[in-house]
Amino acid sequence: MRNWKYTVSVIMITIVIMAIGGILWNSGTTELKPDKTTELAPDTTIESAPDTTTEPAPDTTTEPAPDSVNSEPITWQRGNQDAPITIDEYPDLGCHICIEKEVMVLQALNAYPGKIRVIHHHYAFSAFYEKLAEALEAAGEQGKFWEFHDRLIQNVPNDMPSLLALAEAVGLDMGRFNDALDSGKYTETVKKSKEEAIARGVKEVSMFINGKEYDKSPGTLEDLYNAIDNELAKLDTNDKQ
Amino acid sequence: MINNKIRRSAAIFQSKYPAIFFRLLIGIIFVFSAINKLPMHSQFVAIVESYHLLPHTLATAYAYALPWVELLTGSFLLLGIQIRPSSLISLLLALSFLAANVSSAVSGESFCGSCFGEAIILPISLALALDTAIIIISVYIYIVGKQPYSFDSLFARR
Repeated sequence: MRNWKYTVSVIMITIVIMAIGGILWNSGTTELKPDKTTELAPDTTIESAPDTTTEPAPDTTTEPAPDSVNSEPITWQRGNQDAPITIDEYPDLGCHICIEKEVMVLQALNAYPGKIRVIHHHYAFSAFYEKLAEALEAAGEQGKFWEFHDRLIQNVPNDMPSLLALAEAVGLDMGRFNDALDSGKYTETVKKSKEEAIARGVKEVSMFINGKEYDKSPGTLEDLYNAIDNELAKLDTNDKQ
Repeated sequence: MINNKIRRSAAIFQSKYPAIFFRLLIGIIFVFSAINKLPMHSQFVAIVESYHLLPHTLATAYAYALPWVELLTGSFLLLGIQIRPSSLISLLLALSFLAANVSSAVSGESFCGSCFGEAIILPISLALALDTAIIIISVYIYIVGKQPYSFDSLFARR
């Protein structure tokens, strides 16, 4: 009898604890605060790409002027400036899930021509992946941010030699690239980018579609397309009203 | 005189009261940690992956399960339910945290930004000290076993 009462009591307590946990779990959806620093170059329309492969698409990207990079934490963007869907990415390039999401976003960018713009924010966690973010900035300085990015997400380097080999393969000026990395020219930019993301309410590495957190980790390409379709349908309904 | 002091200290250690204090302390730590990790869910998966200690599937399973295990273990320790099994689980959790923090320290990290979700960013040295303390305390609680002022003791008396 004692055991029976004890077991029932423990089960009841466990249910209550799990219910509290469930409330906390559901409280985790994040919405982005407005980003004041986002600025686009005027001509950013993405060309139509029929297939959904992960081929790098350097000619469809937006590269800010190199001299604007080091002063303020800027965001890197591509796609149509007036696109109805904005995808904000906050990846740590050392995170498998983040990379899978980045690849899927690249596919979506090709599958929804003119309907998506992608904004990349640095959100690195460990020292080496902060260096990778700096390497992206250094590639951007040479007008090859997205080309380097697209190559990088297909085979993320784990050490400096493979990072340098990748930079060479993309055709970067290695002297300038090495100087930028060795001097720590973009260390502050990468740090500021993360601080800015935290100030916007970003909780750890994540991705947002029109300011709403995309909480699949990583989910499938179909999940991402469904999320985009839902967002487009919502916008369509709002337009009709 | 010195012998008396040693005897008194030993008596305090052998008494149940330090064990109650430490049980409540670890319970609070785990519940606090879980409260801060639960809302992060999918992002926490990415954090666990960034340690590169587990393959993708295991890292995902660990990241999703961890806050729930912390919540239940912490609550059970606070309430005094199944103290020995709970202390054993807290020992395993602390060992996994220690492994993660050692790997972070080796790779040159200075802070543990995910130990308590987003609530507290601990210097890595402090995180390692905390993990070690939890391991020692968990073993101590396991050895002491049954305790007064616990849910289990209420049922044992009836």
